[in-house]
Amino acid sequence: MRVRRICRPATRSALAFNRYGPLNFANEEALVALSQDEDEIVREFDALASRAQLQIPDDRRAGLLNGYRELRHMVALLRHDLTPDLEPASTFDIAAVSKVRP
Amino acid sequence: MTVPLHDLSIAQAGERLRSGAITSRQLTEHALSRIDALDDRIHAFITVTRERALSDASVADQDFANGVDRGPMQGIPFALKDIYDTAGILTTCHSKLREHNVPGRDSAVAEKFAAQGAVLLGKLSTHEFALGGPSFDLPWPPARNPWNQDHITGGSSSGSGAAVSAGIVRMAMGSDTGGSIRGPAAYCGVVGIKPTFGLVSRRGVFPLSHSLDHCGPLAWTVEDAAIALDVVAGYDPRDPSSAERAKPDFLAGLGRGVEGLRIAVPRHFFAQDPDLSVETAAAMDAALSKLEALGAVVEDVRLPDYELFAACGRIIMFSEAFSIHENDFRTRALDFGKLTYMRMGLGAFITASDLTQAHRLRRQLTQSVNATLRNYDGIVTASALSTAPRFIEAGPRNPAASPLQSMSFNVTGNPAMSMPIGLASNGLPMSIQIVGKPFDEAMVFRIGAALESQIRHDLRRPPL
Repeated sequence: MRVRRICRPATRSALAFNRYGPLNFANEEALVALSQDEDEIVREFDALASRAQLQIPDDRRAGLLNGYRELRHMVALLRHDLTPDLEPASTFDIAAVSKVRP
Repeated sequence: MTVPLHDLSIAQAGERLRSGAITSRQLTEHALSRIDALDDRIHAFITVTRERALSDASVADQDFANGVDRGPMQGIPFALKDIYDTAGILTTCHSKLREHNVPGRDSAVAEKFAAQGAVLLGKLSTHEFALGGPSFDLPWPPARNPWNQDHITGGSSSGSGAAVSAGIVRMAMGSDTGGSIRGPAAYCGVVGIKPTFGLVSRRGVFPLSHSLDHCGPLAWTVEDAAIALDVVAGYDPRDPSSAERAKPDFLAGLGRGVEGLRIAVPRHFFAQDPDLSVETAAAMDAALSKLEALGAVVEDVRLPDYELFAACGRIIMFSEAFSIHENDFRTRALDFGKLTYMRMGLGAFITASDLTQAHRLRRQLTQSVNATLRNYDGIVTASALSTAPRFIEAGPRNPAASPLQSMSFNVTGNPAMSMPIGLASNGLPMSIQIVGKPFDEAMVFRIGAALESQIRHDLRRPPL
């Protein structure tokens, strides 16, 4: 039996490389936009919370804001070279949507 | 040597039930006694349906006596994650918001097990609304890992993983939106399959994310998972995403081995991840070598980076989840557990453009995975990158960082199964994930069964 070493845990430095760095499709402009200052992020967070009519309890605000920072990274990753003909996976399908539930 | 009743698989128990060697009542009383003995330690159950179970068992025994055979689950005790509606039985989603909810109708899955004469033992712990956990600020405690109760089970089908692992049930139903079947299966050392999207009806299952939710079983063996999936799979016109197609024979490939099969390994998914433990890496190596030794052709492939799948899936999941709960977020914020609020609340901050981009990316990622599967029979990758963390290590966590690698196949909808591949030096299970073409669960089970045949079975029960 041939035994190969195929898996090797990465070092911590690879985390930054992998998670926020040279991902296959990441759009550099979008990632640069993430370097906004902290006040701006908080203002953006508050504006979006207000639009969603959320009154965030005090003990949950810090956790949600922290999640929002991560969310901004995730959103940036979405914006890569999607060609115009690449329609959403949720494209309206008349046959499926017009089915009447029995 | 006599095999303890709880160590009989569904197939083995079925043989004995049909031969009259045991009764469903014996199996059911044994399972109830294990709940009495163990559940104070593992908190797998929210509701134990003792009277219903004994009644179901009596009906099953009567049917056996009359020569009536309703299928392989007849007389077999099982349990449901507490997001599956069960008529007249508390169904809480492990949440204060639904702590007194008693549905009037069964979910499609509960109907199917009832029609087979299966024995419903109860309703199982979950992360709140299949998302927020493990949490200690909910009306019920979180499930604990039977292998070591200081460690989490993984979630969100936490009680399902714990109950199967502890030998209370041979099979329990879970749901999987980003890994909620495969995570607990991985951490608890059992088999868990997220079937192809649309294969199992979601009717009567409280949604987390309409386009990512999948219902499927956690079981003690690959064969048991295939048997359970065969019971619940099939078209349901009352589930808008249900696939209208014939149900394949999920057991057809069991025992056929993997000689000549082509298996793709997207090593970059996991091998460079700093969360990958040395022992998990070695166990992955060993499992892939076993598949090669059995005659499979194992080759590296390149898929889009895992982070893209994770980002795409989470944007969709948070958006859809928040849309379901937004009114309660505005009016009953403090009735959500803190973790649920902090995760689900992110959906409020996603724009329409973000969500549309995620759906466009989803199409591209799905096409990429299935283009790879044109040349391979299956994909094998990591399931969990390490063993189950301790509770104290599993607090509020960066939502982008997960030690599971499961979201990719919720995004694509392909069938994906987690199965155990051994124990680490800390005594906790390690796992692997097998992925198939859409609606080719039979191949996933075939590969899994071949691998399972190489794994020492005495490692499969926790020392409770």
